[in-house]
Parts: sequence; structure tokens; C-alpha cells
Amino acid sequence: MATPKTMPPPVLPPLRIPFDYVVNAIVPANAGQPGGPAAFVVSLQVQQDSDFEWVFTVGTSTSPSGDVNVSDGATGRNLMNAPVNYANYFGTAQLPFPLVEPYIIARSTAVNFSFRDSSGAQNTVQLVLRGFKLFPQCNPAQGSGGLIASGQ
Amino acid sequence: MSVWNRERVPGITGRHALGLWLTYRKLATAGYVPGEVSRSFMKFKVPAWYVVNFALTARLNSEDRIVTSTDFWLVALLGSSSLAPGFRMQLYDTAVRLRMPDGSVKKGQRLGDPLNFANELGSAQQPFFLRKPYKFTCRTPVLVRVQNQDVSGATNNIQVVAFGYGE
Repeated sequence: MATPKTMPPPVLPPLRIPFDYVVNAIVPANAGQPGGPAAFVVSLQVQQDSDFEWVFTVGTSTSPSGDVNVSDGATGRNLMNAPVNYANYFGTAQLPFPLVEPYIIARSTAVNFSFRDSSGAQNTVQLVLRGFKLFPQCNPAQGSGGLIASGQ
Repeated sequence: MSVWNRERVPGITGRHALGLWLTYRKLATAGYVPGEVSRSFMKFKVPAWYVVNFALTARLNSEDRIVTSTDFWLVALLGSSSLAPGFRMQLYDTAVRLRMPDGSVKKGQRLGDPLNFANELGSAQQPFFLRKPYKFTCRTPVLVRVQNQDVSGATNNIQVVAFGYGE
């Protein structure tokens, strides 16, 4: 009698827990402009418990006259070649800016945001990376071990 | 059946399309965004924003170029203008080489006619997605030409953003 072939265990899709990473910045007037103060830098630390799947970018600002530059600390790469105006970078909860292909940020990564202002007044900005925390189904408490990205 | 494990092709795990849900398109979203095959090229790629800025007074033209540091899949075009009349723009892929009927090779390809920016560029809230992403190969100079449409004499701060995915 032939023994049945043993199949490798299926890779389970990760548990996706909705999560928002919030960046609050009170950008001084004319920050990053000639003669003004330096650009306002905020570092966002992705929590250690899980990778983060970035799906939407939303935000608010008291003035649209400003821009932001983002770099991924895990790879050391800038995500843009020059700062992007707020109007071209984040949407709102009603009209969010979607990443067509969600981007997975590794856990413990520091994502750096550099804000500039051109409104001439203090600009209060809230920028939100909306998406999901990714937990392996086999051990949700442990956090990812690198398998999530290949198994999604 | 949940959207997380639905399979359209037997044996191939489906990929959720939440990032493609356009709240202003509702159920018609799929008609306005890249399809599943087109998106497969962008799996595990890094999102990238290539930005060109201009500051122009009345009716002035200008051009600038950005060079893609890696292969770059253009997914959406965004832009803004500080003055309401806006601007017109043209985009060129300068790396394309077209073989003409007489055998000569023409370098550079204009990607469309000059259009008012409202007809070619979206915003972060309502991006203009290409149904099929356009690939710029590594180190391609992408030329952007703009003409300010404002006649008031004030400076028009223009930004054109090419959003996509790189290596």
C-alpha cells in the first residue's frame, strides 16, 4: 500500500490588525527655507512587535503651504528625490492616498520625516500611515520572523 | 470567503486589494486602477516619489528632468499649482528609441500632448492612476516641460510628482 505523500504545511496568511502610525509635527514658520530655522525632523519608530503594512497615507495641516521628505531608516533610502507638497502626499480619511501596492516596513524601523514650511506661520501637521500590523498566525504574540513578507 | 484568502487563480494565493479601494469610485474602483497582473510587477518594490518643482511668472515656459535611480514603474501622476489658472505640461521618456520606417532611430518619446494640468495630474486625495504602469528603465532622464497659464505676473509655484515603485 502506497504511503500518502506528505505535503508541506501551508503558509498561513498573516493576521492583519488595523493600525495607525501617527506623526505629529508643529513646524515653525519658514522652517527649511533660506533664512529660516532648520527643517523640522520627526522620527517615527515602528513598534517591535510586528512588521507594518502601509496601505494609506492621510493627514491634516493648518496650512497647505509646506512639504515633507521621507526616508526609510531600515534601508537608508529616501522615498523621494525632493520634498513633496502636502497636497501631493497625503489625503484625508474620506479621500485617502492609497499605495497601489502596500509597502511593508520592517519592525523596529525608524522612518524619518523632514517637514518644511512656506506659509510664513507655524504649521501644525498630523500625518498618519494607515495600514495593518502583520502578525504570524502560528504565533501572534511573537511578531514576525521574516516569513510574513513571503507568505502574504 | 474573505477578501484575505480569496483566490481568482486556483492554487495562487490572492492578494488583497485594499490599497486600491478608491472611496470616490466605490464599486467601479477596478476600472480606474492597475489590474492584478500590472500590480504583480510592483510586489516587494519600494514606493517612490519623483518630484519636479518650478516657480514661473506669467506665461513662462520651463523644463526640468529627473533621472530614475533604479527601474521605476510610474503608477500615478500628481501635481499642484499655487495659482488657479495652473499650467500645461508634457512628459518625455528620453530613453526610448523608436525605429522609424526609413530605418533611422528617433530618440525620446513624448508621452502625450501638452495638457492642462487638471486633465493629466491628480492630487493625493484623488490621484490620477495609470491603468497600466509605465516602466522607466534605470537611469532614464524623464523630461518635464511646463508652461505657466497664469497672466497676473505673480509667481506660480508648480510641482509635478511622479508616483510609482522602484527597486
